[in-house]
Amino acid sequence: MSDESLLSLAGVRRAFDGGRIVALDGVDLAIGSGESVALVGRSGSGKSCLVAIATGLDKPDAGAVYWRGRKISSRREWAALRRQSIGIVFQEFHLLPTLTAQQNVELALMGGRADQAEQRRAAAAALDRVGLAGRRDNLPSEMSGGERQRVAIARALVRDPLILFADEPTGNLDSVNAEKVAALLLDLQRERGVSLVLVTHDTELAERCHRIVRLSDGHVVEDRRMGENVT
Amino acid sequence: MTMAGLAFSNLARRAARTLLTVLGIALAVGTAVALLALARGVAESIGHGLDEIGAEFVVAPKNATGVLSARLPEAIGARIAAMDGVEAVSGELYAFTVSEDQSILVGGWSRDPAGWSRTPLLAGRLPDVDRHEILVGDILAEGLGLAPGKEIDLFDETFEIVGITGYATAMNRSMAIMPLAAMQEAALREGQVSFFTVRLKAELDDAARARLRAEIARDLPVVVSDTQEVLDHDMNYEILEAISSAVSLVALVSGAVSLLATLLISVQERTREIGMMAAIGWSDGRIVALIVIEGVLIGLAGCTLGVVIGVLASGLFDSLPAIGGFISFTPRAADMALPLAFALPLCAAGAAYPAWRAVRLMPADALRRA
Ligand SMILES: Nc1ncnc2c1ncn2[C@@H]1O[C@H](COP(=O)(O)OP(=O)(O)OP(=O)(O)O)[C@@H](O)[C@H]1O
Ligand SMILES: [Mg+2]
Repeated sequence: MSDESLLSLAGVRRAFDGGRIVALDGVDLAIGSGESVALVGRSGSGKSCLVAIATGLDKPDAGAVYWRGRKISSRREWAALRRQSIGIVFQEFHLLPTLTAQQNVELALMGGRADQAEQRRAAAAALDRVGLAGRRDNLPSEMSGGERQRVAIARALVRDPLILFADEPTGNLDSVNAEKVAALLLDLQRERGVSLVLVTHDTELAERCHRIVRLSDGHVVEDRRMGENVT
Repeated sequence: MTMAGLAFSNLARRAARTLLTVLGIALAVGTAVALLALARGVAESIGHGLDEIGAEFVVAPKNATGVLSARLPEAIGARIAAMDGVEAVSGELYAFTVSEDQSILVGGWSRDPAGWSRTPLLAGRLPDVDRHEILVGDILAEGLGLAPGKEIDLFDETFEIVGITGYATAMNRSMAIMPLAAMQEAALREGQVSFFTVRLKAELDDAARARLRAEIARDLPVVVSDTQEVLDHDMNYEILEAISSAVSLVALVSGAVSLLATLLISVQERTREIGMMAAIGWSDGRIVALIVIEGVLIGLAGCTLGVVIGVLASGLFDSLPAIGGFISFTPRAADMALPLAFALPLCAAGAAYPAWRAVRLMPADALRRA
């Protein structure tokens, strides 16, 4: 793993069902600062599993994950890292149904140093950035799928993470909303210089990233920078 | 948003379930408050009742099971009366009997004329010590339609009512009083008393009182109590206290278990949400804190409502058929402090297991749960 990489996986293996299903099989992958990486591969190839392990939501059976060259293993370290530096967006939006858009975003700020007023301001600014300034006081049930996903993106961004993982963020959206959300993620990546790992089945969208990593049966079978030839 | 605000919003999502759990805890706390208050009410009522009839010390037999069932030879009274500092001794025999389907506390007194003369009379006169004459308390008189000149059958004998007493305590207002000799004969307890009440010379200071008390207990096979401590030696009262405490504890634990069940279901339903909170950087400690706060909010609401229920229930003691006439109850902070001191930690304990369950899974597993 190179020292410039922000986050890297080394020899990561993850199996289920007592070893009968091998989801990841010796994966090495380094994500650099400020780059956008599309993670592609057939269904069941291990993409979600890789995201879970790279964000500490799951533990590898073998191998390790490094943040700026430092191995991260305890639950506590991972929670702190997710709080400070890693944002995650899922295919399902995972918003709390009884909280407004504004409150759902504030959820990510609770327990930090920000006081209530700062929390409100930061959450409002994040919602503003994803184009939902007018929807702050709406409940998730009062919003479209695309809007809900943008609330989830605001929640992931509100702490200014250094890296953002998005696991099929447009998977539940119609094509118009999918394009809006995809464009938003890519814009945010450029604008803030945040690293982006985007899991997608959409080839066209993948090609708008700096780099495409393809998984197959738990192996990295292709790792290509845009503008390079297929390796 | 604050943790408490978020916890409240989570509880409000399942308002009916939350309210039922609050009610369960409230009933448990209410039961505990009422039962403990009942036990204290009994002790205090008897203490105040004895104060009111002019007792300062109560001299009762050692090793008796209960105040009313105790028996002492009347002859001991003379030895107590002879001690320095004693103003007057009254041998008193008490028993419950039933008249017209109502249980009545009857007392027989061997007071000196000065002792009898302190009896507050609303009507009529004091009984003649050589005759079957009796005083009845005003509540008893009202309940049974009694008045001076009428008769009442007690212990299969007939007594003439000569006066109505006007005491202040519930116990005394429902009591019938006759001369000791008549009571001994009627209750088939010749030569016996339940205990002696002792009036002390007014000039005694606290040290002299304590010395006298020790002296009586040293020379005779008796225990000497203040009016407020009389029930400390009463086995029936100890049983009442033990049952009250045990039932209260069971009620409080069952309240905590219902809280545990509610939170467990709530945590299970929210498994994915909890996974999401871990994903956005919530530490295990903070997630645990959220669940415990939810438990404590339910517990606080339940305890508050429970104290209200308990105090209201205690107000109904007066109308309990068996004991209503003998105790009166005024709520006090201490009646509530004890149940609450148990209930709140129990609620926190009831929340601890669900909270642990909430952070036991890897977040990835939690997020995948249906
Ligand atoms: N908790 C689990 N228990 C058992 N098998 C699992 C579990 N999680 C993942 N797998 C298996 O591991 C493999 C990789 O799963 P993963 O979810 O990473 O695929 P994916 O590439 O994200 O697929 P998709 O594009 O459909 O989301 C699959 O065969 C899947 O069935
Ligand atoms: Mg997947």
